[in-house]
Amino acid sequence: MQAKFRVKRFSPEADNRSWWQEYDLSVPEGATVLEGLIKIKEEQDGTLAFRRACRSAICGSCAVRINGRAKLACKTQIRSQLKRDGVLTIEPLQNMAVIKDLVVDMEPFWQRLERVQPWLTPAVFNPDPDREFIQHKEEVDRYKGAATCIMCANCYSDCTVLEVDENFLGPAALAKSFRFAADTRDGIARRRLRGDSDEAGIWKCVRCEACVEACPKDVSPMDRIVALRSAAIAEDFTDNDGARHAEYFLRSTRATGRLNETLLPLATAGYSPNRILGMAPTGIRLALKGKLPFPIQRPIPGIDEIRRIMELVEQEPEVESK
Amino acid sequence: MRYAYYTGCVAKGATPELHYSTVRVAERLGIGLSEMESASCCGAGMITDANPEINIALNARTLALAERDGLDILTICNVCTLTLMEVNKRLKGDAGLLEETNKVLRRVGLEYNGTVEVTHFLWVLAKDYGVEHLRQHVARPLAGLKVAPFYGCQILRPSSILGFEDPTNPTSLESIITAVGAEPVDYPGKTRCCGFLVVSYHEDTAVDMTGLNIKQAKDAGANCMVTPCPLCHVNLDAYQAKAAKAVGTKLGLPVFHLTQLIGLALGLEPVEVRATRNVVSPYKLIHSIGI
Repeated sequence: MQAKFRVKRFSPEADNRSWWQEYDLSVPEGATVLEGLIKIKEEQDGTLAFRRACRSAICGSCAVRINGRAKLACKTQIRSQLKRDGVLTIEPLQNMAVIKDLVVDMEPFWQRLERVQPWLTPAVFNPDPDREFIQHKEEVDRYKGAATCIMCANCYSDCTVLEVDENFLGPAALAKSFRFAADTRDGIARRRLRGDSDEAGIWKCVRCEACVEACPKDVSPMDRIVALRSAAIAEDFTDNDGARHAEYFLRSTRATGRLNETLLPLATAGYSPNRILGMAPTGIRLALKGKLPFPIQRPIPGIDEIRRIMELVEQEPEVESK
Repeated sequence: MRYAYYTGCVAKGATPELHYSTVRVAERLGIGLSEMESASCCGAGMITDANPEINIALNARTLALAERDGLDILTICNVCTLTLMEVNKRLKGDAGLLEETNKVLRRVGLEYNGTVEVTHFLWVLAKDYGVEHLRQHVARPLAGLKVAPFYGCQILRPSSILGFEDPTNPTSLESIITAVGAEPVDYPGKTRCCGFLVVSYHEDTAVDMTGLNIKQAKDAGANCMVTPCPLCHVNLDAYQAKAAKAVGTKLGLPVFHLTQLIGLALGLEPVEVRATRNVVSPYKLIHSIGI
């Protein structure tokens, strides 16, 4: 099989210049992108730099962008990515500085992971460290899916928030935080949830689902962020915009069956007069175009059913305990 | 072809032109819509944050209402699409959860048996109705419009739930743009995020994201954009002035709802698709192509 690799190069030795370089290669049908890169390095161009180690989607080293999306080069077959013209583009991961060619500086990624304290902090002092810490299957199931992260940084690269906001903790670190917050052996879950609820944390996620798509291990980072949000609200970490925003959806649906878009931003801002004043220009622009619904709204038909269902779900645990 | 028509909240609130133009376009194309007037807000994922069980129960009710009428659900909002599809998939795949949910639904005289499908108007046109069929209805080809498609996130990702097309290289919007006689413009931002979800509390982040996408569309030669999602529309259109400031350049790119673009091609007048409601006025552009 013939393929053309279009690779984004960058060299600090060549005045920090970046350029596209094309390599034609002949590879077996099932060859992976990593096998292609290794072939180029061995047979055509020893100066091409990229990271790799295990070649079997375990170590997470060979993450690059293939045709614009972050993927593990070793887990991606060339054939599946070849465009009609037989070309495939390879670029370094995004949201990190390039060191050389496809090698990026992962320092900001590691720093964020460190911030969520990615290790178990036991709830109780274990007087006998030689004894096992028993966990039941149901307890392991709560975090198992998030524990499979191989820290390849695919999600970090494709995160659309990190592209514009370098303060965000990002999908990998938050998924890691969930992994420990959901662990029954961990003693600082509340502290984790408080930390994740701050400015840089869970409420910055825009739910673009790019991390879910990019993750090669089905960690589904965004779903972990959502789980952290519900856990944080359940633990009463609600004095922030994100939690107020989420809770207003519930209140509005209970009141009328629908979302009251005019009152939503006011509730999110905690009805702060200064912030409401700041919203006025946008509000006026929308109102002039008839896009700001009247704030007092009638309930929709079926509201009794909606309220009853919400009530029943909220009572459910008590019903079961009887 | 008839659907239970789930408008979502935004098409009845901040983007009434979307609901209005959808009804007109469906009429012209002969697609029957039975509006689900008693269906609740889908929760847009935010109810999930606040109370995951209520999210499932309320959306299960919506699915049960459609099932009672023997109809599949048609949405016009990406977020409603994903939220309803996600709950539907969980209910269909987990008999225990379905039974627990039905225990609640039965108390209000409803039951869900997992027979409903959820689809988006874009998908209906691109596949079930068919692009060729749509083309036959085009009375006024929109030659001269260079349209940048903006898909929005929750009609593409996660593909494990939505799965209509390749989330990296989608083509459904392009096929419709071509069918209405306009020219699709390719640009990197077409599958990226508008940032709407945080616009009311991290406005800077949201307008930065929106600005990047519109700028890319403009740099690629587009003279307008189209989106199948009302939330993307709010950001791309109503927040465009702020987005322009964020990226430090003039933008001025009219943004159509999918049904507005199609409506114009079917021969509806701009006022019939409520183009008057768009914040970035599309009139100059529309006039320039002779409408």
